[in-house]
Amino acid sequence: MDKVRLGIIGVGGMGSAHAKMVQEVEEVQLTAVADVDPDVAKNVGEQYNVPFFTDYRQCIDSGLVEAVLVATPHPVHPEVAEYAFSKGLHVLTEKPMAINPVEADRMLEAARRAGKVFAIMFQMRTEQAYRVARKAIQDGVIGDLMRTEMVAAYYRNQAYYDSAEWRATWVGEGGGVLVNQAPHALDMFCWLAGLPAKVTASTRTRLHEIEVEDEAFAVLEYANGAHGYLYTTTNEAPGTTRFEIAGDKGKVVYQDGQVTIRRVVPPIREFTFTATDMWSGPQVEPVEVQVEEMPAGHAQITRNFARAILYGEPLIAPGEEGIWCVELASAIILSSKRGKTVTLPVDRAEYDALLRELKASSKPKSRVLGQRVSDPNIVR
Amino acid sequence: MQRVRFGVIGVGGMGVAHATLVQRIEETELTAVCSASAERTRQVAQQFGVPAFTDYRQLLGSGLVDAVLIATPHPLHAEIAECAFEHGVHVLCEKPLAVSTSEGRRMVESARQRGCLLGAMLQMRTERHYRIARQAVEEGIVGNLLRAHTIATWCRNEAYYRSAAWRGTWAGEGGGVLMNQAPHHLDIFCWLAGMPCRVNAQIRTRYHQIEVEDEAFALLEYPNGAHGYLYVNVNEVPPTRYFEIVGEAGKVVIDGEQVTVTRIVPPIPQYMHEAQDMWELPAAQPVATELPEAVTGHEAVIRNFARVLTGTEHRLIAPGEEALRSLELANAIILSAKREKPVSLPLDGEEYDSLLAELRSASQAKPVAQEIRRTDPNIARAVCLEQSVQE
Repeated sequence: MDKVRLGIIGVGGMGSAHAKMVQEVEEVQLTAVADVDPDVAKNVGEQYNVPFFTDYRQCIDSGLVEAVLVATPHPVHPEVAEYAFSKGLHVLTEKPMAINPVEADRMLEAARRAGKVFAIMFQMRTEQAYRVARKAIQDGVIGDLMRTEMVAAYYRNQAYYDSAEWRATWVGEGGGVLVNQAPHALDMFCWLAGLPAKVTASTRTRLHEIEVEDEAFAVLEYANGAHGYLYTTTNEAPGTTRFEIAGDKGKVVYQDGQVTIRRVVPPIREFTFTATDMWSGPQVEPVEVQVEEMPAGHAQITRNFARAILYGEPLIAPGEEGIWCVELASAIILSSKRGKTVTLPVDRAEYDALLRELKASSKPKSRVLGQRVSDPNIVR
Repeated sequence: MQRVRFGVIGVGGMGVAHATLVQRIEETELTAVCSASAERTRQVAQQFGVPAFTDYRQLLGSGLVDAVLIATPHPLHAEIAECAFEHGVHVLCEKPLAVSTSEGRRMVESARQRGCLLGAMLQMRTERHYRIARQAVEEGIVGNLLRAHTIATWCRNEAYYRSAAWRGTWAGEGGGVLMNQAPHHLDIFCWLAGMPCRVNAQIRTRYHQIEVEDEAFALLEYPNGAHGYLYVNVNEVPPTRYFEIVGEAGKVVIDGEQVTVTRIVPPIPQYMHEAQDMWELPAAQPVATELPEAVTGHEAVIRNFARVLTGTEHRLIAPGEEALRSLELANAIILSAKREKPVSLPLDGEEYDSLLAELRSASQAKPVAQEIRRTDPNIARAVCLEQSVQE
């Protein structure tokens, strides 16, 4: 069987988990790893018996790999991806693809020019409940969008933020919960409801000693006027993951792993003006949606990426869609920092200028514990 | 046993259901009914075998009642309640307490001055899931508030708004979903999360041909800086009724009739800086949510009101001053939306009154082909009245 020769760039955190994960993907062979930290590169290289590099360029230029999985800190994703495309490699990048929309544009352009496969590690898209929700919406269960809601509450302690110099800094991450924990939820929200047209938002730092946001909330307006709201934080335990997409033909609700889909007959707008009984409502019918059984998780995204390269299989999370969460996160930060409503797509130059300001204001951390451990829930 | 003699004012809609309950409950006795429509009053009075009035002042001055239950359209609540207090008559008032906060404040003040009882018909407070949630909050399980979130949707069709000239108008209701459908929900929200100190809101009319709002949403800020979000509409099916009250020590989630209470140990701010392992989380402990069975609904509120009057219970389920909160929140949302600015609470009553005067003067009379007076059959069924409420 054909195998894609894959290199992993950045194996200090999630990348080390990915090195283990790809061993189980039969369409992929791990052929090299790279990390700026020589000890980390050596350890992981020796563990999997593959050549290791401290410079991603050498790894890409080595001829050992035809595709890379990029798992560096997010601000480095664009330069690694662009370099890989320029050398004719395929790229699977961790989320978020970039923290700056203008860089995301450049990555997409580079992928197009190279004609190579570009995918994003949005493994939440492989989960059954979300696939059911997505299928229902694609089948038209929502109709005209009326309202959306997303609540994605996570918890991180101070030790997490103190574990590395780059964490939770404008220079090192380019944002807080919006660019680190929330991208999966933001991607899911856009995958289900589409991108809003306008964003009015606040970001705040409430419970942690960090310079980026640990809380963000936004009022959204969609092109058809529908209202939306999103909230995300790293201050809450136990967490909440909730999506609600309501339309005039039905409603999809996802709450902590459970999805409920209902159809409204006749559509609400029609019913409102045709009903003669003042207390009557339209019929509500549960909707059963069948989707093909599929394993979930990082391995499935990686397998799909490899199969896209080998057999042209459609991508689960193509690069063009990876830009959605970048747009949304940037719009929220821009709206909050400039105290105004932001229209999407985000003005590239304006956001670039804001990010420069924020980076310039970024301060070195007073304490760093130097723990490099991947989230044990993901590793498990 | 001493029975509280009750009059019901406003028997065109919900009032008939109330009259039936008052007659049925052991602690109360129905002694008079009143409606502005002479025919309606005669019909209802006959049905219940009590004297009929078409002028509430005459009923209040008749000496026939110790207390009245006010179930008229909401803009009349305040003047009737004030007149009742002048006669030393106690008041149990349908929601919303009044249409404007200053009216509501006057009602509470008059009741206090006259030594009368003012209770609100906020029967949702008696429902099991909300009582469990409230108990968790009272026991301090939530702790210092981090976030409050609620969504409540209903569905009303155009026939509903066309059923009476007062419905869906600024003059007739003083608001839309915020004044008619949402007060119970806003009350529970304030009961659980407390009052915000700042409201930044929008109201819109999206799906109906009415002049008041059929959708409202607000970003809230609480005195400790916590964030909140509130959304209500009358445009959606199936309904969503969802609350999240998140604090430093615990969390309460109500989804439909499901309530989940979780304690967080140790509390988040303490844990935040104590944890050594970067991926560690504080323990989330489910809290058992047991409550003794109790009578719920309108019946429970009427009975409680009577028992407080006769001294066998000491705490109203929904005292007037607490009912003021949801009214103030609804007013703040309308004010913020119409004036396009954040509004601070406590609300400036005069500022709201002048806005409401503007909105009322711009209000258009609505042509109604045939007035239909019928109570929500779901509520009627809940008190086994479907038949008696139908015309």
